[in-house]
Amino acid sequence: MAAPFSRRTFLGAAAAVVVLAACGSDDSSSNVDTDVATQVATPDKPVTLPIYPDNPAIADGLKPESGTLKIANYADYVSPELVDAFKQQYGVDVEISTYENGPELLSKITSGALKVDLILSIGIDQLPKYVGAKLIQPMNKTYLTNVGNLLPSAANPFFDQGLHYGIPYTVFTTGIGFRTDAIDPATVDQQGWDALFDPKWKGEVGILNDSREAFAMAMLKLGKTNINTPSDDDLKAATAELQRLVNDSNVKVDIVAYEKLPENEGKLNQAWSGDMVLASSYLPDGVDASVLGYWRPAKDVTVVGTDLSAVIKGAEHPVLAHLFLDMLMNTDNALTNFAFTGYQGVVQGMEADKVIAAEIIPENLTDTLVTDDDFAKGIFILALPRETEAKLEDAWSKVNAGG
Amino acid sequence: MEQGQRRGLIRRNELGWLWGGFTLPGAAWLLAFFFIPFYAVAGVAFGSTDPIFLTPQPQWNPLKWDFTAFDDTLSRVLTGDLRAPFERTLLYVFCAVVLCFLIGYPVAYYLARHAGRARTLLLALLILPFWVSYLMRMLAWVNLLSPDGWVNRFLEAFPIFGGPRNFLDANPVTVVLGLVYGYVPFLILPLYATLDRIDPRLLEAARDAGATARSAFLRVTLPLSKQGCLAAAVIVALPMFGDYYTTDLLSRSPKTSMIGNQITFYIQNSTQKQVGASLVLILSAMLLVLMAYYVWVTARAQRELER
Repeated sequence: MAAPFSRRTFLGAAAAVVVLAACGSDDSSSNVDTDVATQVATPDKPVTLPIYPDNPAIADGLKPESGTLKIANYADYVSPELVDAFKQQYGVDVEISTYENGPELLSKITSGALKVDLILSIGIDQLPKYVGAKLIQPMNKTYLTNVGNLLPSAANPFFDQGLHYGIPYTVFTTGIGFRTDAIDPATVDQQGWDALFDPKWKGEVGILNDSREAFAMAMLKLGKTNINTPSDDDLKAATAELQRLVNDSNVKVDIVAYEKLPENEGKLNQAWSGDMVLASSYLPDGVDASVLGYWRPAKDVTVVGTDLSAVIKGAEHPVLAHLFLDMLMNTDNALTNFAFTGYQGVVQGMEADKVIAAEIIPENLTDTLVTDDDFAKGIFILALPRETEAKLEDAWSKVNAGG
Repeated sequence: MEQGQRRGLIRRNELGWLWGGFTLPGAAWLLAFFFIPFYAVAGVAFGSTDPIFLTPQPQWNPLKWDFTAFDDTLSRVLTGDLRAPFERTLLYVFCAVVLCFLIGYPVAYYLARHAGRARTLLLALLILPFWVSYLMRMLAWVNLLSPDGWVNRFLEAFPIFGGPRNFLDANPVTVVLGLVYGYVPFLILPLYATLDRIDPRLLEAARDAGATARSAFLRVTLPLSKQGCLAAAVIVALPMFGDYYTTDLLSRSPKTSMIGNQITFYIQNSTQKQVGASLVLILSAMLLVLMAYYVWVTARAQRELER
């Protein structure tokens, strides 16, 4: 049921605030290496995250633990087939707790409200906080026999040189998902982000309900690539663009393009590449996957995202956690995972012909695939200074107020 | 005073502690699930944010409360960008409550006065939608109202009604109708209970005194159901004020966003939980005014009854 104020939104929001209040504490930042926790890595200034003497990696050659491997992950973001295979191989149980977004996970981990061995999806902007607060442990790569399968750029990424803490799990780009039976792919190619603003598609357009992605799109449309260092004027201009979408195009703000486009509820949507791969499995019976299209900008102006996996410091099952990650980096397993989640593993062997042959994506969606070059040249969404982040959030609130 | 009455009075006094004790579970419940969460909301609204993790740091000591975020939020609500969703919420809730009455009062009246043997069945049918979750019921509406849904197929077949249209395209009417659909049973049940308790002899007396059916309704039934109407209005309006799901599912457009959507954004998806908590407090204060009016009217009616 919806969120009634007195009984649910109020108590719900109150409960959320109570949980957050419980998660927050007066000294949650004490004992944190603030220099590390607040640093922002960029491709120009790569970062090597430190390994602390009081937070070492596990020793080599340990035997897998028994019991239950506890994992935190987004819902439906790992193949149950792989989880079952892992359970069978090591004779253990696997328990997955889900979360909605990065800040929620960080709150729960810092407060101890969520006790797991392994986190499958951390944003790269959050990784320094986990490291600086010693919430995760360094990886022992002797357990990661498949680490060589990673895309070369991902094996030594700018945000964690030497891959000390976070193992790239999935990779995706942000572009436009569209219906090819309504709009010619060549037209979207020609118009780029402007296609979303075409008055022809009033009422048929959607953007991601994600403040950073929405503002990145608006800025890129304006030809500004400094999505991680926006000035006040940049934010103002991007806000005006997004408000124009609201007022002129009745834009919808959500993260369900993978459902809407297959159901023909809308013609164009800002979308993650992984959601467009997933969309083909949501098509009604008898509808060919060729009705779906995906456009993304040129490599150097494409927003690329990656989710990282990490083992929690003090995990009860650190060996199992390493082995689980190793399993995910196996190319065949990565394909199985790709087929289930729609999100591509950051491993080699995801070439178009192979993925099409495995019937994971249809031929017309090959632009959803991310190459090593994309990973190397793309723009990643990085942490913003706190004041800028607050300004961006208020601007997003203003867009969503629809006044 | 009769001996029996005196004995009853003494007995009541002796057992006073027992009757008082019955309120303890309710009081404990209220304390645990209303006052403590409410205080936590205030603690977050007037607290600070962890500079590294950006998690809220509630301030439990009222003497150290910082009202900066609350003041900023209040000024945004009164004169800034948050005024629009607040006004929109008020308008949507007002329209939805009026529509709920237009639909629900006749139904409740029929159930109380004319349903006869079918009353139990009809009541069960009224409760039946609650067996399906609100989310599923709203999703059913999405299917019905989508561009190629059943409603548009009907409109296509009978162009007399103006042909198909996009009901889910930032349409405030769709959102209001969604609210009505979701909450109208909550209005009917308390209204039915009120109307059912009205003594039929009062209506007979009115008719004997020469009142027509219409004036008997207007002078007897309607005034006597005023308390029930108010209670029913409170029961449906309060949840509607905080609703964010209905517009999320039936529109997804900022043009129809309600204040609940802003609360959700700031509490779940932003680093400024204080703003979300402040919005909760501002909305609470507004609803407190409405609740105070309800309590005042109810107390006055009680006093008149005892006179």
